[in-house]
Amino acid sequence: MSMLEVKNIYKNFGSLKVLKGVSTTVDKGEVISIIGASGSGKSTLLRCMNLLEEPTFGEVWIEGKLMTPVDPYLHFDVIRLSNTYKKLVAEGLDDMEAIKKIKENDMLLEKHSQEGPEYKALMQKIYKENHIDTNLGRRKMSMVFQQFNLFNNLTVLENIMLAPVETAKYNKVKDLKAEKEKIQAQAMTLLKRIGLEDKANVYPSKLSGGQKQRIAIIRSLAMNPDVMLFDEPTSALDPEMIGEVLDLMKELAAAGMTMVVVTHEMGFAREVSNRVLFVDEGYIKEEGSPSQVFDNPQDPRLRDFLSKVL
Amino acid sequence: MSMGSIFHDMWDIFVTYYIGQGLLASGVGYTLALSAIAVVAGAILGALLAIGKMSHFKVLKFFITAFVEIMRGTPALLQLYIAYFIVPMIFSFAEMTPFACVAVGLSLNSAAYVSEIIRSGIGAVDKGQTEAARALGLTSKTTMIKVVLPQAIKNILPALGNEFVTIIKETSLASTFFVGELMTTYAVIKGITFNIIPTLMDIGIIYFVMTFTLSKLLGVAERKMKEGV
Repeated sequence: MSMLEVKNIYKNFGSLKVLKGVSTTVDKGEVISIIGASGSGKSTLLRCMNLLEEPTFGEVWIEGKLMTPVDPYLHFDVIRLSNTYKKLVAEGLDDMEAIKKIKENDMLLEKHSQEGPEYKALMQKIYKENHIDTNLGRRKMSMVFQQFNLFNNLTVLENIMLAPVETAKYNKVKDLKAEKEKIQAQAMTLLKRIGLEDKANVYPSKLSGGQKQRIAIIRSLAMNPDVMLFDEPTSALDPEMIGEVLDLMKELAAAGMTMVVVTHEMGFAREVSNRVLFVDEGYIKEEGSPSQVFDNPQDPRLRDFLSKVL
Repeated sequence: MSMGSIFHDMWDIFVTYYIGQGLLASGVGYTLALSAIAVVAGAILGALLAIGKMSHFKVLKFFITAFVEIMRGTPALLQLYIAYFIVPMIFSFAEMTPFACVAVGLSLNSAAYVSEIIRSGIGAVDKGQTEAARALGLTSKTTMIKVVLPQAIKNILPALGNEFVTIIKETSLASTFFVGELMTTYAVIKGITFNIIPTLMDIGIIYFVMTFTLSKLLGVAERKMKEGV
């Protein structure tokens, strides 16, 4: 089972179509780099993965659980079981055409009550078994931002502890005090790992960009996520600080962390990732191993892009 | 009338009426009481309006927007007149004094301004802060309480202090209804002495001392708060 899967993601901002049907899977332990020009939709794709942007159409699955709302339109298998779909396919449309037509014309909701027991049972089943609450899903895949986004009103240690402590509260942990001590000990271990334990009680405004980003990374790590999403983590850094952040990310990759990284660092993409996705004009135009993508690019737009950045 | 005699009369009126007759204590007392009621009630109501406006209920949002725009777009004196006549009708079971009516009017006026202060204070918190909290799986409520509001308060409190200063000056409108606050003392003393200018100057000085002192105190509080983080 894949760790994270997006199926046929569309994202419109008003009339602007940013993603036009993107599907990919992320397996355990994989490091995936997403490359592409500015405005190509690569950040939007990443932000759709944890629903910071809600896809206009399409599904996000985390560890076999559907994170996007269980809407008959968003679940292709449900559409496929509907009488409307069967009728359209009988009329000669192919699978995706039929699904798109049903979705775009709101055909399912009109006939909702007339659908067969198979269809209704699947809707129920999906809800019970497959759906995962957005917040629960997000705790499995924390995100690192371009602008770090450390909480300005909290110290470094509080920044790292906030989400794990609140999660313990949501989960109604019996001995909260002991749990907090455990979380604090883990936070200090993480801070030691990046050599910033002396900054535990400092506010973010007193830190350099590189320090902020490394702390943002271990803040994500403190949630013990299954996948980590990185949204151009080095783009806002001064050149001399990029190295320290990339080193930490390499260390995580080497330790087997599953990572999806939107990046302009082609060196990192080539050296660390198992798979590279080239996003352009709202599509994944090319994907493959770093050597395939960088040394033997097929898509003309990718060749053009690489010639500019390499 | 020479400048010297104006200062002389100002001093005379101050000693005789403001100190001797206790008009300073009662005038300042009523003014501060009205301001305090308007600010506290305005802050509570304003916070509720701000929360309402951030909700997803479109009808509620519409009514709040309409209320805020009307309160900001019409003169405060007009609002006080309406409050003065309408409040006793609504609360016909209770004895509503002019002071109470004016207090209600000023509170509603201040609520409209405070709700905008709170809303823009929350809006001024970087969107990335919310995104980071939500991406860590925190609920929108926890995000608000632990991350957004503590940062918004630093934007809100100074503006709320300014609103207090504005309200102190605004209470002078209440003299139209003779509620006994500082501006009312003008009508009282004028009726006895017919000496208009020195009385007005006295009142001006008292208002200025109040608002200037408050501004300075708020400035100190603001600096203290900034040192806190």
